[in-house]
Amino acid sequence: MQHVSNPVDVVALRRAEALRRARDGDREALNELVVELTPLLWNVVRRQGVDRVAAEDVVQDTWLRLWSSLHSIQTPEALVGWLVTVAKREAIRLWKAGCREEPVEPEWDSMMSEGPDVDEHVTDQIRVQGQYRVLWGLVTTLNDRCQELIRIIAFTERPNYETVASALKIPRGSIGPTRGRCLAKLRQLLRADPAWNDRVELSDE
Amino acid sequence: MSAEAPIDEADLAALRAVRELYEMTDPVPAGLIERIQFAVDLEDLDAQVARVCEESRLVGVRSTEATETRTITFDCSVLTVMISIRPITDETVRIDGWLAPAGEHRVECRSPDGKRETTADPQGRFVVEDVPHGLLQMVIRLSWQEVHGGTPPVVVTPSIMV
Repeated sequence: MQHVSNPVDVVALRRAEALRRARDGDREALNELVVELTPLLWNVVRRQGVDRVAAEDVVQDTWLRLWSSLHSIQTPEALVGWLVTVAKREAIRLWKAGCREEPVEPEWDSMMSEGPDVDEHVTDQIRVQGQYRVLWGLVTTLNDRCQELIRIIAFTERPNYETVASALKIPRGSIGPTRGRCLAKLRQLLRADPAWNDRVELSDE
Repeated sequence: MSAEAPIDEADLAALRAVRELYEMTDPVPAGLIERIQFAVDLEDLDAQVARVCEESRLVGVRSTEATETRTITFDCSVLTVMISIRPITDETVRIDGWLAPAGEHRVECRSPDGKRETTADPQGRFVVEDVPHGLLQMVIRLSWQEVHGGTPPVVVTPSIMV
C-alpha cells in the first residue's frame, strides 16, 4: 500500500496566501475561500443544532466577521481554526442571547436515531444508498469528539494537524494520536461491515 | 490499521464518503455562497457587522415570490436597524426603516445592480423605494464620529433576499 504523502502544510499555506491576497484587496481570492470553506462551516453550524434558515445567517455572519477583521489578522495560517471557532460561537450565541426565540429543531437528534433523510431518488441513481446508511450508522457510534474530528478532516479535504488542533482545541501534541485513533476506529468499523466492503476494498496495514 | 500509521488511501476513501454523506443529506442551500460573496464585496473594512436578530416568518420569506410585508431587525453593539420590506411591483420593493439610536445616519441599500442612498430623519426613520428584488445589503454610516470611543462609524448587515 502506497502511503499518501503528508499534506500538512500545503493546503494551509495555499489558504494563508489566498487570505493575504484578500487582505490586499483581491476579491477573487476571498471568493475562492468562500467557495472552498463554506461547506465546512455549514456542517459545523448545523451540527450545533441550528436550523437551516438560521444556519444561513450564522455562516454568512462568520464570513462577514472575517471580512471586517481582514486587516487585523496576524496568522493567516490559522484561517480554518478561526472560522470554525467564530461559527461555533455564533451558533451557541443564538441559544444564549435569545436573539432568535424560536426553538431550534432537534432534527440532528432524530437523524441519529432514524438514519439520515437521504434523497432516495438521487442515491438510487448512484446506487450507494445502502452504503451511506451503513456509514451513517457506523459514524454515529464514534464518540462526539471523534465524530467532529472526522467531519472537520473530511471537509477540509486533506488533514492539516495544526488546523484541526486549533479548531477542536486539542493540544497540538495530541492531535496526531487522536486523529489516528479516530480514523483507525472508523476504519475498523467499516472493515468489519460487509455492506461497506462491497463498495471499497480496504487494505490491511 | 493502527493509530500511529499514516493516513492512506483507504482512510481518504472513508473521509470522502463522510463528506459525501453530509453533503447529500444536508446540502449547503442553493444561493448561499453567492449571498456571502456579494456581502463581502465591500470597501469598508473594519465596519461593525450587525446580526439578524428577528425576522417575521412568512411563507416564502427566502424566496423572491414573497408577497407580504416582512420585517427584519439587525443588531450590533452600536446600532439597531429595523426594516420592513413591502413588494410594490413585480420588480421592486419598498424599504421602510428605523435606526436606533436615532440620528441622521447615511443609509445605503446595496443591490447587485448598484446602490440607493438616503439619509435618515432626526428620528432615525428612512424610506428607500424602487429596490429591486434579489440580494440586498445595507451599509449605514453613523452621523456621529467621535463618540463611542474607537467604534467604527460604519455598520453593515448581512445580505438578504428581498
